[in-house]
Amino acid sequence: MKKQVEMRLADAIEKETPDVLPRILQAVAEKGETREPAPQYEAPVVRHTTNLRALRAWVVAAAAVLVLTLGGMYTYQNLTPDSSVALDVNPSILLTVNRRERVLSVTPQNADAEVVLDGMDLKNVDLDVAVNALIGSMLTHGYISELANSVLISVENSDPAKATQLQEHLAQRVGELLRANNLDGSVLSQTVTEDASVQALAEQYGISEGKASLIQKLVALDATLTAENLAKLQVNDIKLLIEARQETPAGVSSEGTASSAAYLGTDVVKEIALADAGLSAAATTFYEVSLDTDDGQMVYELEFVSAGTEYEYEIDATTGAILQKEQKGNNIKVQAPAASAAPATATTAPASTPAVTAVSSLIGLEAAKDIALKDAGLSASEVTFSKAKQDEEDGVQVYELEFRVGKIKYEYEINAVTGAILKAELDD
Amino acid sequence: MFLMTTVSAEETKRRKRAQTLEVDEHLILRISDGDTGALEALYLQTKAAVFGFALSILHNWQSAEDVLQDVYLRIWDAAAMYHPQGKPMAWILTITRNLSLMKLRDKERQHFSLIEQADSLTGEDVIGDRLNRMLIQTALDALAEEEREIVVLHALSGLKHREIAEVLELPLSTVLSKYRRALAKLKLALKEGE
Repeated sequence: MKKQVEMRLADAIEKETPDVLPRILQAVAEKGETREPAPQYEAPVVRHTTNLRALRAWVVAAAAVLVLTLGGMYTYQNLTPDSSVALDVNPSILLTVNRRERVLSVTPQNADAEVVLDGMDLKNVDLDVAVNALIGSMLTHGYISELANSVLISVENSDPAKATQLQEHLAQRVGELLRANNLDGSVLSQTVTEDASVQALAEQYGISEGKASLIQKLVALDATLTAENLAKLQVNDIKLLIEARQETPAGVSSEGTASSAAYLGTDVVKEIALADAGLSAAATTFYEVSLDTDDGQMVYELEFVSAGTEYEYEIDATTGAILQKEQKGNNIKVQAPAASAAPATATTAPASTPAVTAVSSLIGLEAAKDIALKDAGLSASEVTFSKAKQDEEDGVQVYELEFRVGKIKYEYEINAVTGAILKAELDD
Repeated sequence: MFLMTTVSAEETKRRKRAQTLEVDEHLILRISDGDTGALEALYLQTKAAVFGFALSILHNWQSAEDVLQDVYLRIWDAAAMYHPQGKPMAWILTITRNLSLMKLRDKERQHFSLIEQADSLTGEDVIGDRLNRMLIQTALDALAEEEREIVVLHALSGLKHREIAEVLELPLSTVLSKYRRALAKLKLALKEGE
């Protein structure tokens, strides 16, 4: 059911939509009857630059497919699906093949996959040729590039030995294809079996079962990761997280190194954090700088210590924006060193810590209110606060705010140090 | 008086249609056979959703108009490859999104006002048009990018939240919470604009 504001907006847009029909019909008439059989898709969702070098290989692959589809129209004995093979990059494509490894069906499992498949008819084609064509198209469309070079292959077959054999073969094949395109690829591969929990996960997040299976294995390895967060990531990002943990989930084979070229890199984010904290590299010891994910976004987690104070930063891996920061072991401990356990690494010159009190490093309740109101697009005179207090949540100082406009209740939780909005909810 | 009644009846009809926008899949099959009449019918039925969605992504009138045209040319070319799955609108909006994102990448987002752009294009300044454009601008300015896309899709495309989540590649929970937030913001923004 649509709300009145929506109706008004819809009406305004309907009335203001320009009339381009004559131009469309003219352009269509100019195309005439000679519509191109396999039109170029001019608009893929390209997150990364297209690898032009890959184009040649793709043209060769496409030509091979064309020859096979035109020339290979013989009948085959077996129309029964034997294995299923899923390719995940960000495009997710599911292939079923018969026991002679001829493609029986090709299913795009997301919008990016539709772009990759555009105009290709892979039915009846040999699996290797189909994989070649699909990887080629992903290269051409920029889904695989120097910035994101990881591919996930998931194979299902009722015969585990055959599944493993096919998995190894395809992993090798895809690695070769990427190398042929001057790309140091990174290939994750796994065998999968029918599993209700994986299917439910795939359904819930609208991802392929192959990706869901990988995510499930990764969450089992590291409980700080959540399926919800991981589902939003591309395979390359998931591969980067696996590498950051230095442990590949059980049942997954991994070759090559995922590209982190799309992200700022540890040196850059260290500088960002040091500049923000007003510290020099010489006086600082980093004990963690790693890629992580927060709400489907790739971030760097940094932990370092300087002059007895521990710092934790979370920095957007793409933009370098500081998303969260926190200081621990500050001068409260310095003032009463005997009373608290200073961090083990904090033994060097704690007395030189600047005398910043914990309280003065907080932004204050009024500033927190301003942040919440600004986010809600409201002014103080329009709202009635029903709650505004400082609290601690998971060791982080926060301000909890509640206010109303008429019947609508807003709830905010603001990080008391950084001013970051941790929670924003609305009830009407 | 008579005029007023006519307008409101027409509006009611339009609202009803927008609410239950269901695109006939057969139109796309006919387009693949080269039927320009089907293309015209599809255009008339879906143009506002396509334009609104493009506008909400691009925030630029001229670019959204370009995308509007390109979408139907793309549909004309690609209709033969459409797989009937009962989701023609999602298909059309995915094309719209892809073309819009492409446009966005090619051309850095331009920040001048929607009203100025529209005026400079048409050279007109009809009061009724201006009010509509102000309403659209106020609404779009008040919302963050994903909120704009979600509200416009919900208002114009007839897609359910779950389908919108698919088109935008967002979790359903995100779409729902952003939608609620966006509506509250919109209510306030349009109230202030009055």
